[in-house]
Amino acid sequence: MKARFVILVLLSLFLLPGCTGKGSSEGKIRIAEQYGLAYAPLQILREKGFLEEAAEGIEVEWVRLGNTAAIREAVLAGDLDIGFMGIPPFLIARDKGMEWKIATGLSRCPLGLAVPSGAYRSLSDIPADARIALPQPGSIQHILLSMALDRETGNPSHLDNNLIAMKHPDGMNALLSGAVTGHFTSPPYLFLEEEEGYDVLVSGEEAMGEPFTFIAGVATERFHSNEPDLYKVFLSALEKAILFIEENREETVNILSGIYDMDKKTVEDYLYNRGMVFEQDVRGLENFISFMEKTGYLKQIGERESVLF
Amino acid sequence: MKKGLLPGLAVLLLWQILFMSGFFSPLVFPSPLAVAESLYGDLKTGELVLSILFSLAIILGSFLPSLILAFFLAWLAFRYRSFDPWIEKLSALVHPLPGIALLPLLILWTGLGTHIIVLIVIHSVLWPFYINIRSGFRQVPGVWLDVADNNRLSEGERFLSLLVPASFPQIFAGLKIGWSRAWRAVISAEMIFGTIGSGGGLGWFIYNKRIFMDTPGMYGGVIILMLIGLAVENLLFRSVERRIAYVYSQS
Amino acid sequence: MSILKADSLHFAYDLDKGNHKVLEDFSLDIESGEFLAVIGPSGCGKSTLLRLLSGFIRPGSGKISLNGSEVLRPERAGQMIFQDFNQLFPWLTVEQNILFPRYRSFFSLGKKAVDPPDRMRVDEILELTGLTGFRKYRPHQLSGGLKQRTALARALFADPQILFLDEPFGSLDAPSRVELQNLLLRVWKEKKRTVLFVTHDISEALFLADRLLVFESRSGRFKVHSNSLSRPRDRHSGPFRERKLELYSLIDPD
Repeated sequence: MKARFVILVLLSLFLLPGCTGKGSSEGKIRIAEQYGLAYAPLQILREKGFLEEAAEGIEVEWVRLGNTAAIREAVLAGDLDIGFMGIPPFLIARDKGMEWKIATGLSRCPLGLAVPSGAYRSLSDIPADARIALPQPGSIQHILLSMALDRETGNPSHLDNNLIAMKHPDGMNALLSGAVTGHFTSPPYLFLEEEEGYDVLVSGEEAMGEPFTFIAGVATERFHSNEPDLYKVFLSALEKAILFIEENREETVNILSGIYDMDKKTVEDYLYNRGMVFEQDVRGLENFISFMEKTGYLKQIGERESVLF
Repeated sequence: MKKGLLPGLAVLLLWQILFMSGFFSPLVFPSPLAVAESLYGDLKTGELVLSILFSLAIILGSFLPSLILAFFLAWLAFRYRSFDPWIEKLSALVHPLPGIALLPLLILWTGLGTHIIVLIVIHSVLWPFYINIRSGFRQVPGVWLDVADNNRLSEGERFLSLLVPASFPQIFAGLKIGWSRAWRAVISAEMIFGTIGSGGGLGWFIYNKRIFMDTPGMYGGVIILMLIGLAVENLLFRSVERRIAYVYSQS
Repeated sequence: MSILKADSLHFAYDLDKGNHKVLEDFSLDIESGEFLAVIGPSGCGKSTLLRLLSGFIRPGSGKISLNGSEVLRPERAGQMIFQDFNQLFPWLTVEQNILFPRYRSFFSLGKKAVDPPDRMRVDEILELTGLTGFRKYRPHQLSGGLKQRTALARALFADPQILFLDEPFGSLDAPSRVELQNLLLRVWKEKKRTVLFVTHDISEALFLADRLLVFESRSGRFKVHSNSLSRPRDRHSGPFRERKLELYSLIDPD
């Protein structure tokens, strides 16, 4: 009796993902974003209703998820068509066989490792007992730090034993309270830490050696082939949103200061004066792939066709 | 043992059939073989064993101070009745708090490190330990205390040679509850709070597999999680429990 | 020679309805080596009297002394044996239970070595109480009679001058009760200890004791009566029955 019950429960557990696995329905687009300034064009796109304007009767579903792993799982469950994330987590999933590709770039922005002012002159100064916070292993912040370490010390995993996985706001608090000695992060946290007097020991561009896309938009192959028109509509609506940020500063700042609950002056400063760039070009992809292959994060990506639509 | 084998095989078989139906992506639902292979691989590199040992070490490291503290509090409440309502209120207040909810506070007070997970596990086991030990002390028959008084036991002898062995059934029940709570607490705390390079437990192992989308590895981790929980519960606790119930049956 | 002396004891329980007096100006002298039985109906305070004399509770006023020194709390020299079968420790074997008065660290701190003289005494006590074959048993494996034997053996190992027994055979079936009564007499004779024995069974008291402390319902007080029946006593003899009826009418005059 008991055994039969256990089997039943297990079965129903295994069947559960199947029940929720629905394909994209016609005329509907489901988009996942994360939180932060780097996703600004998506906020504009949504607030201005550019998608609804371009395709009448379209149904748009926005989902905000806490991290890339959650986005990947939602895509696997069939709940999402397009997700926005850093390139390395996308590549890891692609390498494991997820059927999705990059559809567009979204933003470039200054990333960096914040450390107490004057504490270290270079990465190799960081002592063995130091602690460095960053979002999670395999994140763009982790890969960039590994790249910088590879360049400077010849060992990409030189500081791996010193890393602690923390969400951005927790990491910032830990840095400010002295619980960690470094925080590899992105805006607005990086800007806030700089304002608190912390130095950027290594910037993302220094680590990478070239400008690179921070957040990219990734679409499922199913959506791309089933809804080619909607796919194109989405890309052009995004283009419109990016153009809008460029051309309508005041309205952009008004919209975003409401969403991020920040004052307008700060939003304008962060958005326009600190090196944030919104563009659809995808940069740095080759560099990411070759480094991640070299360090073992990717195993069979080279055997697959292009990761770009 | 033999009886448990058949349902296990049936589950494996069903799993394989479901997998071969092609209904699910292998990224959602890998084959049992892929999971076994990944488990074997993680065992061979030692990664999995280290993770398990790490989690178990945290539990052991938390059990010891928790037990000592719980014994002390229970003794205090037993020996000096006026403390009892205070400790009682404290435990009623703090006990229901999920350990994870304390994580930000603990970091603020004590900084970062593995000790945070230890503290969370201590919180999750201290109160069940205390409640059980106290009820054990309270249930010590008056006639045993009389025998102790009659033979002029010192405070220490009364504690070690009477109260503790006399409340062994309750202490053990507390250990059992503590184990299942500790196991859950350590795994969930590790999933939230992890180091990247080294020294992560089984919770971090599973979380890491998730981050790197190693679905078979994730399944493997969860299976190991279940097996260890089951093994400790059935092999260790149940047999000792039976023995204790038998010996203490007269009281 | 007097061993236990009670001087004008007063004792009352505080109850909601006021005081319930148990003892008023009670005095008693117990001779060394004497077997004294306390009898009375249940609720008359005979167990309270025993707990007072053994030091487990304190009188409201008055003084109890054992061998000339005042009893303020239970003494090792006065060992109590209870009615409750559960007075043994279930985590200890029969032998360890018996050793407990002197070797407390069993189980908690591991086995401490038993001194050879104590080892000999334990063997002797086991022999005397008929427990030699049960030394490695645990209480849950013993019958009620064997448990009470073990309790007696444990009290003996403490080497007491006086044994306080609180209806120790009250829960036993008739055959084991007689067996234990005979054992107690044997122990008393061989060890020459003073015994204070509480019971509500008149014939048990008559069979065992030299003197009887009887709770007389008419006066509501305990009074000493002698028991001159010659030993060994026969429960079925005429004088035994006569004495029994006499005592019965004192305890329960209606």
